[in-house]
Amino acid sequence: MTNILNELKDEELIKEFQDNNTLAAYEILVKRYKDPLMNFVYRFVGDRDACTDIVQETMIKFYLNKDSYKSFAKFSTWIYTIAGNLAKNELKRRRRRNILSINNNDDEKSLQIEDKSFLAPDKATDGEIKNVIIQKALLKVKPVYREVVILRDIQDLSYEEISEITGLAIGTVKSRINRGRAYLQKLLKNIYRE
Amino acid sequence: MSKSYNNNDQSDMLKDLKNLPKIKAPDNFEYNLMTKIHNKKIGSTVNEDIHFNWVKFLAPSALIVSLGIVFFIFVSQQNKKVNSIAIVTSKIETPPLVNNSTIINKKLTDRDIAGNHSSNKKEEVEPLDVRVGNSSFDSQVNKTIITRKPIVLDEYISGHNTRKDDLKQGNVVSEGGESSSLSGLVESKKLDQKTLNKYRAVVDSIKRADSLKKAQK
Repeated sequence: MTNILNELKDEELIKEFQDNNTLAAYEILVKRYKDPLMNFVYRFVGDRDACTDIVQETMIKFYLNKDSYKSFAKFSTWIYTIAGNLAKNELKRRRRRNILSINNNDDEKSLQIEDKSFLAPDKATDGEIKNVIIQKALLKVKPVYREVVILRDIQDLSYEEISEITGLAIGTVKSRINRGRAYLQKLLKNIYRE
Repeated sequence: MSKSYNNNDQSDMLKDLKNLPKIKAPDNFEYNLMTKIHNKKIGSTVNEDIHFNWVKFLAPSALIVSLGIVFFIFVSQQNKKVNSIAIVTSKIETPPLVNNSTIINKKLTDRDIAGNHSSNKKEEVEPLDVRVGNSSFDSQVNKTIITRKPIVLDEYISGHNTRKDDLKQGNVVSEGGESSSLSGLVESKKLDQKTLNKYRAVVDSIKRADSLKKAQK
């Protein structure tokens, strides 16, 4: 049964899940999308723990609201939209928290959490350091540009798919991608100077 | 001056972006997910129950209705009591009765007493002038008079009254100091000396009548 389901496309699997509530179909979709979504959300939010929670929340929403998926859309764009919205909400929440903490002067009271992206110089290779720098630069790009750049250049999605996920016109998507890239290159000019 | 970047300039950067290490989900991702889903499912059913909880909806209205019913019952009972008191007080205003046969139960108001006293002036009470077992009038009065503790008049007359408190129990010879069964609802009034003398005279006449009967036998 599982082998047969594994051969099905995403849209066929979700249809199976919708029609017959087949949990195996749901699990296959989770297996297929958990890593791409983790990658997308991590690059967007920059926090691994928060990223895991967001992707889990995405999968839960998918489970509970399976009937809201319409067959004319691609499953991948639908699930990316959910994850993207949840990631944006997380960023808004963090921004609000930062504003409150600045107002309350709670900077010193905040918990000290280990920075998992930090690499000791003796262990870090050039490539790893470069990746960390790129990730940090990516987080400095405005979220509206960051999202499309990640979807296009990291997740390797088409303009049409990005347009569907973000709900923007293709032209807007393209211009935002260009602006995002330009800003990112500006931030990384020290790396790509030579 | 803004510098424009074309794809050729960005190719290295784009290549590095594509080659960024892929982040993978933790090993226990699916297990945690299924646990969460199970919990959320329970939560959603609980919410549905809350939405359709008729008990919560009906409880306050039932309480209000029951309170209303209790209030109406209470009010109607109060009205009945007030009405019955009014009836009793109106019925109390009947002429007094002395019953030789068994039990004397009576309650007099001052107005009765005053009326009777004035009538006594015209009609003297004779020793044998006692109403015994008067039929329709008795039944009518018996309904109206208030029940009191009985006194056995024969025993009392013959002097065999062993119950010391009988005098206190009966209204005929006592001063009427005993509280009535309606005490608290009806104002109890003490008889004046004249009325008391009148009733003593009545009792004395009964005594004499009884002694005459015995003598005749």
